[in-house]
Amino acid sequence: MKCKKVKERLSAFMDDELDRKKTSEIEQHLAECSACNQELKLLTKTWGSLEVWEKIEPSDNFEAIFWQKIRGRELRQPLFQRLLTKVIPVPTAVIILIIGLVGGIYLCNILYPKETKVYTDESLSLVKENFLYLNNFEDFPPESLGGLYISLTSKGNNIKIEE
Amino acid sequence: MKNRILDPDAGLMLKFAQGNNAAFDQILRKYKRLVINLAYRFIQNRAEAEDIAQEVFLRVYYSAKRYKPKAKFSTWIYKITANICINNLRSKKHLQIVSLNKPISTTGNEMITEMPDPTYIHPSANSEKKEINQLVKEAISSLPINQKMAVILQKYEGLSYREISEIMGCSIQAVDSLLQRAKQNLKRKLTPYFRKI
Repeated sequence: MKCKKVKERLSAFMDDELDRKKTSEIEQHLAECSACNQELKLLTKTWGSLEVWEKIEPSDNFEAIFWQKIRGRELRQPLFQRLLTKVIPVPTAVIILIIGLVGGIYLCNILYPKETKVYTDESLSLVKENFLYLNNFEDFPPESLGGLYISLTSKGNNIKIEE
Repeated sequence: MKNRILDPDAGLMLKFAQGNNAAFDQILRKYKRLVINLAYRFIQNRAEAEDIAQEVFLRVYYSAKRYKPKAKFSTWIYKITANICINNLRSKKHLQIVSLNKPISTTGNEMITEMPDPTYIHPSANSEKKEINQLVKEAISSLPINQKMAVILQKYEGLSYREISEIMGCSIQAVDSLLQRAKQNLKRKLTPYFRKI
């Protein structure tokens, strides 16, 4: 393995991220190459020097602040939303809503039944008299739309278009 | 199901999603140190690191109902922390940072490097340790964002390249390349001070 390739792999070699074959190739190269050995020493020293940076401890009230934030956020939620999410779970609320809707429609139909009109012979003839039948188009002049309709329906489509 | 057996923390999260608040308390106690330290090393400000950690746990708390244990719980919480840290740092980038170590320009075209401090005392052994600590912090701070995150996750959290790639959303080769370049950059910056270190 050449020096360039070894130097590219030194970082992964230091972190023990190479497979056995590549590790052994690099070890073999390092045993013979002082330049690559020097590079590894410098990198190892650099990497090791980072250990001086110590950890910090969370502040004593970290958890208390967190739970305070949660309570604060929950109090800011509208009452209806809080009831939905806390007291009544969402799926239950949806089922209750559907049952309420269907039950309401059913009750409404029982309490306020629809008025159905019953036509007697007399009332029917009265309706017919007042109703605008299409036959009334006969009174229209033959060139009008009504006249055209009558000629289409009653005279067997024998329309003559004058040129 | 397999994940639940392998990762007890994911199990805690699932318990919390079912309404067990004590399970979340356990998660908070177990991970607060880890989250704060990751944020602290990245942001290098204790108060901001605590704020970021609070934000991380709020996100974890409110995403419990949507949580699915696809990866290790620790990987998931590292990922949330890394994202918040990176966004935080990027949002601050528009602010101009003036280093007190850099030369200060004066009106007469001359440059002075520092202001005389009459209270200055020569560093003792204890303050030398602080100085080294500061050198390391500055060297890490000067790295590009992705290199910095990779270094912190590998060096201080002891994560493998595969885990880092999952957290940072990149390939293992990309992690290798980031760490390789980061080590070269750190070597360049810290080698002149090795007699102190």
